Amino acid sequence: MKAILKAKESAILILFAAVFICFAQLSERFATPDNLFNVARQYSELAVVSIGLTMVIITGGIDISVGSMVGISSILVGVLGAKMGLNVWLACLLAMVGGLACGLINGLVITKLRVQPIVATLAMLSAARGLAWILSGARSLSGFPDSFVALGQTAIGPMPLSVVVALVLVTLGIVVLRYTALGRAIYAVGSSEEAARLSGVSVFRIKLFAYAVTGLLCGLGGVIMAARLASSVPDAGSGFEFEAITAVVMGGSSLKGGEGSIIGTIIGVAVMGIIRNGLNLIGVPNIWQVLFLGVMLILAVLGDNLRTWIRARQVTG
Amino acid sequence: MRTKYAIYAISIILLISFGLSGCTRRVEKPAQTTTPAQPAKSGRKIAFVMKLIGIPYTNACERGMKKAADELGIDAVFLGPPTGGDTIKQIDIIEDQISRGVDAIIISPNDDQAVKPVIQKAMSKGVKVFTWDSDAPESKRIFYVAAADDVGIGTEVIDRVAKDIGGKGKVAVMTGSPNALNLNLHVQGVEQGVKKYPGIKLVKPYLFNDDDPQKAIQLAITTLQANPDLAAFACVNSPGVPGAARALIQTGKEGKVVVWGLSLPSENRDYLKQGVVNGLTLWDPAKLTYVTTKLVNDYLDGKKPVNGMEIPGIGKLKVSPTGVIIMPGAIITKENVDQFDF
Repeated sequence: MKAILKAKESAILILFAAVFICFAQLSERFATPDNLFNVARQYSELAVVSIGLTMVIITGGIDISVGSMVGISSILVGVLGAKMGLNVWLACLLAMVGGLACGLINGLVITKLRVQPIVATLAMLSAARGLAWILSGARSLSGFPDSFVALGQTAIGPMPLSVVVALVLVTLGIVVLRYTALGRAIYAVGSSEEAARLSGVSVFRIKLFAYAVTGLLCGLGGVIMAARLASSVPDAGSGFEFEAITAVVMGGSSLKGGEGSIIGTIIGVAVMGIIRNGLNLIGVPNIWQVLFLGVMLILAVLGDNLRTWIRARQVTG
Repeated sequence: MRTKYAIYAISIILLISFGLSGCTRRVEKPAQTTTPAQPAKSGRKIAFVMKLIGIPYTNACERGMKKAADELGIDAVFLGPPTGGDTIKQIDIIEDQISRGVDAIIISPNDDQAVKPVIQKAMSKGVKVFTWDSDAPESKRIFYVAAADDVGIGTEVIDRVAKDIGGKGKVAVMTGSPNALNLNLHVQGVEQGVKKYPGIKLVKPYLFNDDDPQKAIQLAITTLQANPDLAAFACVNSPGVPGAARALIQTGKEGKVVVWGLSLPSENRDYLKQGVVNGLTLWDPAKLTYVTTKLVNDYLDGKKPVNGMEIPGIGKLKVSPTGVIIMPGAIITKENVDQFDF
């Protein structure tokens, strides 16, 4: 018990448990496997995107273009796969390459051109979203082959496929961050760029990696979303940046960099998922959800600060 | 000693969470409409999922739903994304209602193509799906309730505009989201109707305000600046008319440009009386949703809608073989605007 409390993610985990118990009391459909898997399915895109964003934030940067990158990827699947009739799997691959390209552009502009991350990704946010609207004519695209639509609905056992994919990627992310030199380098760059550079870490490569991976994961997120909805919506991913950053910060990452974990982020995503789902199930108007989320964010951050304060007092006695 | 602080702190967090859950419980009560003393149907749950919530049109729909739900003694909720044009959030809400195990879902889709899979999912799980206000004709929905022939009402608007501008001039078309089927059919009606008036030119591109009142004003102002000789605005969604009206007032052109559209008398009463807006064609969205609630409830009881059936206080309904149901509407001008309370 003490070990769990001491863990970095204890604050958000406790918050998750508290919210879960509340909703389980308020709605008898909430804690059913059917409903929970449904929530997991709806949030699998956000989970995937948040993996990359966690890494970016740990390096001390930020990426507010994640929503737009999901959008352009989703539209690429639609334009290439549905409208132009390309093989749909090829379209998916190209969409992910598109996401990767956007991520690389972000990374290069930030490292080589030395533009501040928020400014660079703000530009990408507008550019990618605009491109998505232009390519789609601001209309949604559908007409995917049945095999693609079926993919969005398939499940492995009771778990939807997108959830399995998200879990695999989350595990991969956790392993990379915690147990590889690459992961340690990411934390190092976030804690102190100078110190990292002096220890032989290529700060340029690490940052580029973080932004590029985020772009690639957004590409995947766009593909998952297109399969789930069986159509490409030009506004796909709109507002994702707000949700993803909230999840990452809730999970204990510091926006200054050097701190954070994917486990925490994923619990953050889960908290946001069950809040929205729970409020819908008990019939609370959707306008309250944003307020609720803001309150949860503050509680999560306060909880985390409290934990830091407790640990500091324990160390200094 | 320090462990004590930790325990206190954690308890505070838990208490706050439970307290907040208490808040949501209190908020929950006004959103539901059942009272336990009602007749046997009180176990029935239905959900309306609108394109968005929070504009006068949708508030009126909600009133109609509540009135019917109270009379029938069923549990009805009115949901929708907080902002306009959000297809994805709307689908998420529908999925949550399926999880909730409602008996029926009634949708006004932001995108008639994108909702097809989720409608299929609902029907396959035994949740009956209907559409109202805007249709998804290619989906598995059981029937669609409209308050007008979607194409015909567009033609009506351009006919009224043409009369007021003498059959010639430039007309700007204001609509909501490019994917909403009902709006696209209204625009189709405008395009068909305008063929009768060779002197009228429709300004392209059409103005898409995404059901956002602010965007409606901005688009109208930009159009006025780009076309100083604009003769009229033809608006097919409810935020369009007050948006055009405000734009005319802000640019000092009120009274010089004709405005007709589908919008509520309650949000345009002053504009009508001051002559900024020439007239409205609409139905009462509260009555539309009231009728829909009753028809859905009847269906769940095994009573299907029949062509020519009469609803007290509303009139006769036309029911087509493809499941399209239409109820009568109204023309509203400054002379009769006070008769209407929606």
